[in-house]
Amino acid sequence: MAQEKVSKVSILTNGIIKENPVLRLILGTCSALAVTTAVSSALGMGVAFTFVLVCSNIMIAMLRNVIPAKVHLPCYIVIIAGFVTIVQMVMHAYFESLYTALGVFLPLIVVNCIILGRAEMFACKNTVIDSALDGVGMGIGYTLTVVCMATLREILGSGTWLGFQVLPESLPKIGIMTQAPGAFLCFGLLMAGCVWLEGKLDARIERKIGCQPLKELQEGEDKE
Amino acid sequence: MNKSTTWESTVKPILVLSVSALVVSLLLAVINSFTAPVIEANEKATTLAAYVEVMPSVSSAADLEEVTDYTTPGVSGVVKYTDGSMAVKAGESGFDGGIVTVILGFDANGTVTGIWVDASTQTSGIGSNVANADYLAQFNGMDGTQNITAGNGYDSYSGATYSADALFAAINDCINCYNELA
Repeated sequence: MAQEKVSKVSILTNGIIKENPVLRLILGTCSALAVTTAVSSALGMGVAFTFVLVCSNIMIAMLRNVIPAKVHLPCYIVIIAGFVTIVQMVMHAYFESLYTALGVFLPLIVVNCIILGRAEMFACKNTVIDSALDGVGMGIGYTLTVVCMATLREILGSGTWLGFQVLPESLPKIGIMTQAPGAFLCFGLLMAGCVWLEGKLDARIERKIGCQPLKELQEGEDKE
Repeated sequence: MNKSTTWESTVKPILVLSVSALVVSLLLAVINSFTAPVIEANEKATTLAAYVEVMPSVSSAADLEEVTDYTTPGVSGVVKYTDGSMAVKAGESGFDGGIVTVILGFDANGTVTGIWVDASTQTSGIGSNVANADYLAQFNGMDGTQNITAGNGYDSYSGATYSADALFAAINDCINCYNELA
């Protein structure tokens, strides 16, 4: 079966709504829930994540015909860990407060499911340009998601946005929004919003990874 | 035929993985040569600012004199001022091996004039709470010539025992060093 040719624009925009890594593929949720108490941390994490994803996608696409199948995963980990360490060193040197705020979640980008997922599902099968576009799209999708979550949590939980006071200080804050349950609440709301938006855009797609829709599973069973 | 199979199944994977690791290591070494001096300078500036913070009689870090002839284990830095006041920096392992760093300021009589704690290596929201100003207020003005223990006039931190133990151990290192040099 001939593989369907996908346009460059579609590769770039897939990660924003249709295949949003956090809200539709449900990957990389650990860091997305943890670093979204403040917009500044979320933005920093998004930029660091996008840099690592784009660089690792490009490198893996370049080496896709060189890396033997036997050592796919160890090679990917070495490449991704290298880029994560570069980000860590640069951030420690020039953005120390952000480095402290992101804490353990910065080195944990190495084992982020989105990056490993894109390396295995996309970069090792596609050209360098397509892989770079995929990395940029997925990175934008991740960054937009964590910034949206952080915006909701910071405004409702602390009354500020990017550190600036946006709600009157006399107004009571919703303390739970700065805690873990608030993160899950925002996550659920944004997921629902993404499904609604996808329906409005009439852009429902057959997902290649993630859970298979129940209807398809039932159809598959009927055929058997 | 056999040679080709050995190359594909054994030699090539080892070679590719080794070369990848080597190239990445070299790249990191180059980046580190640029960032390490900046990180070191930042850490030094933070430490100097903390010394000034715990010594109320000092207005500028330039007035401080560095002391190096100490032998107390755990201590990583000591500075003195002309009025006899002193600040000592020490670190001890807390939860999961993360270092809790303490800088303690002493006046000429051995009274503690200020405490600065970096517990960012501890679990966020749990162990890191030992650096909260409300909790640290109990150490201000204490006698800096006597070792202290948790529960003996000073509170530990409920739910963060490893971090609080490291904090108390580092404070005692500072006290021991002060006694050594005073």
